[in-house]
Parts: sequence; structure tokens; C-alpha cells
Amino acid sequence: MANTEKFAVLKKIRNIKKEIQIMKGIADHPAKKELEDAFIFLDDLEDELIYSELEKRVTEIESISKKLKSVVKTASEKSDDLKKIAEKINNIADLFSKLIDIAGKGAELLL
Amino acid sequence: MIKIVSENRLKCLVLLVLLTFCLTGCVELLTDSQIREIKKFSAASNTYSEYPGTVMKAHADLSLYNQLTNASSAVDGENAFGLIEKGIEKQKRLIALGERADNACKILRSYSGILDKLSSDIYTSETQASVEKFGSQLDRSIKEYNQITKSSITLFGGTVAAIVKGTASIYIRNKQHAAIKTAVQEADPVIEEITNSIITFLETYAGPNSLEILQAERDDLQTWYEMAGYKQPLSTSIWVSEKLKIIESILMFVDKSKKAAISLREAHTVLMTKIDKKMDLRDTIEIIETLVDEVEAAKDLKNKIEKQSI
Repeated sequence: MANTEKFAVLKKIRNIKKEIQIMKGIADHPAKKELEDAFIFLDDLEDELIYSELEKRVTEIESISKKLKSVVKTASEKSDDLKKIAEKINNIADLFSKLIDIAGKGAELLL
Repeated sequence: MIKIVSENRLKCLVLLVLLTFCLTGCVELLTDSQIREIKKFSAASNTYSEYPGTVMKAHADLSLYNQLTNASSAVDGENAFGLIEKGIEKQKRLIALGERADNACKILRSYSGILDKLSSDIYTSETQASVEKFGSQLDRSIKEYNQITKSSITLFGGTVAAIVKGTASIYIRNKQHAAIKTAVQEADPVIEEITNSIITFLETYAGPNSLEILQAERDDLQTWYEMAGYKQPLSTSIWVSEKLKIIESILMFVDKSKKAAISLREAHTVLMTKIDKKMDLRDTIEIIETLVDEVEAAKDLKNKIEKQSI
């Protein structure tokens, strides 16, 4: 059901609900109980129509969010790669520090 | 006497390395204005991710209130109890749906978080300590060698460290730029889709072509009050006035959320344009400034190492 059709149905339901509430407000109306049952029935119908529309919208947002999730996943992997590059630079610098230290100590012993 | 590689020589060396990057055409660095755009977008999307769920939770509470008002004037106890139960059920269903909306929108937060991370200096700052240690170690060894052999080799640990640091920073920042560019380009159509979808969702509540959910809740409350509520004690009137104020606030919130969604979409488009566009003179100047910053940072490192060496 398109939004405009749904809205037209909802409008009818709401108008009848309002009429029922007004009639129910009459102090000695003979069919108060029946009116209230009809009101509850229409209220449930209205809720279902609204809920189905909202659920459709939320499902749509959920489905799009999955696409963004995949972008985030790829970007996170790239962030991990950058960390690995930084770690490699650290490791190389540490290795050179150690090599220089060893070479220095070796030279000391030789001299 | 300790001889140290002069500052001018250092600048020449570092700039030579940077020039090599430029000539090979691989210098595309994140500039400050791009980082500023990322931060702007990040802040906006962080706040925004909670809006749709907030509207739905407010709607859930409002539904329960309206069922309670109907229950208070029901024809018998059985109907009254049934209305309360229905109200609670309805509230639960809407809250659950709101949580689903919240969870789906949380991805905007994750997305801005990863952009934030990719534009930060965590990767380049990580290399600082080890490169610094390496430069100091080199200078110490040269000093020891000079003492033992009575020679006078110039200390160049700081210079080497500065070159390593400068080169590594440029390399990493270039990689950061590429990662952000890909992420933003891939995300842009999705951001447009998700913001449009959120706007459509919000328009279900209020606005043109909406289901006028909030207005209907207000009308229900008004009709009930006019028919039955006004006969009840003063506390009922106070309660109704509070609910009317809440409906007003939610309507305003829906409107603001819609505007925020539009801003979010626009902010992302600006971000993509800024990151994606071909370089003009201003961008080139900014990139050169970024390179100069790297040179300055490398120079600071050199000075720090040399101070330790002396």
C-alpha cells in the first residue's frame, strides 16, 4: 500500500474513532460497551498500519547500514595495515639500534 | 670538540627526500583543511546516530500515555485492564523497533570513528620513539669511536633519524590520504542513501506526506479530554498539559533531526569534494606547508637527539 493510500485509510479510521469517542461521551448512550469495543478494534488497526510502515522504514535503514558497514570494515583493515607499517619502521629502527650497539661493543673489544 | 651536521645541510637532505616523493608523483597528503572537514563531519554524525531511535522511544511512551487515558474512562474494568496491557505491549514493540533503528544508525558513528582514526597522527607518532632511540644510539657509538680512535667524525645520528622520521611520516600520511579517499568515495552514495532513508522515516511522524502519527496522538488525547478527561481531578488536566508539551517537543525534534540529516549529507559531500578534487595552487601551497611541517618535526627530532648527545 502506498503512503498516500495508507494515509487515506488512516484518516478514515481516525475520523471514525473520533466519532465513537464523541458518542461514548454521551452520558446515557445505550451502546457504550459496543462503541468502546469498536474503538479498541479500530485503534488496533491504526497501530498495525503505523507499525508496519515504521518497520518497513527501519528495515530499509538497516539494509543500507550494512553497506556502510562494509566500507568501515575495509577502512579498518587499512588502518591496521598502517599500524603494521609503523610497527615495521619501529622494528627496523630497533634492529639498527641493536646492530650499532653490537658493532660498537665489537669495536671496543678489538681495540 | 663534537661536530654536528649543520641545520642547513639537514634541511637540504630532508627536502631532497621529500622532493623525491614529489617527483615520483606520490605525494598526496592529508592537509589541515581536509582534517578539519573530517572532524566536522565526525562530530555531526556522532550526535546524529541517536536521533531516529529517540523519536521512536518518545512515540512509544506517548502511545502508552494515550492507552492509559482511555483506560481511565473505560466502560468496565475488563476493557480498562485490556487497554493498559495493550499500551504496555505497544510501548515494548516500538521501543524494540527504536533500538533496531539506533543499532542501524550506530554505523554512522563507526564510520566517523574510522575517519577520525585514519586522519589522526597515531601512526606517525608511533615511529617517533624508536627512530629517536636509533639516532641517539648512532651518535653515542660515533662518540665512543671518536674517543677510542682519537678521530673526529661528525655526529650524524640526529640527521639520519630526522631523514628516517620525515620519510616515514610522508609515506604513512600518503597512505592515510589514499585510505580516507577510498573510504569517503565508497561511502558517499551510501551516506546519501542512509540520510534520505532517515528523512523518510522521520517524515512518517510529521511533515508533508506523513502518516501524521504525532498529530493523531495529539488529536486522540484532545478528544478524550474534551469527552471524559475534563471531568476528572485537576491532576488530570496538569497531566494532559504535560503530554501536550511533550508532543510539541517531539515535533520540534523531528524537524531539527530532518535538518540535521540534510546537513550531514551535505557535510559528507563537501568532505568528498575536498579530498577528491584536483590540486589547485592553494592545495599545492597547503601540501607544501604540510611538508614543511614534516621537515620542522624532523628538525625538532634532530635537535632533541643532538642535545642528548652533547
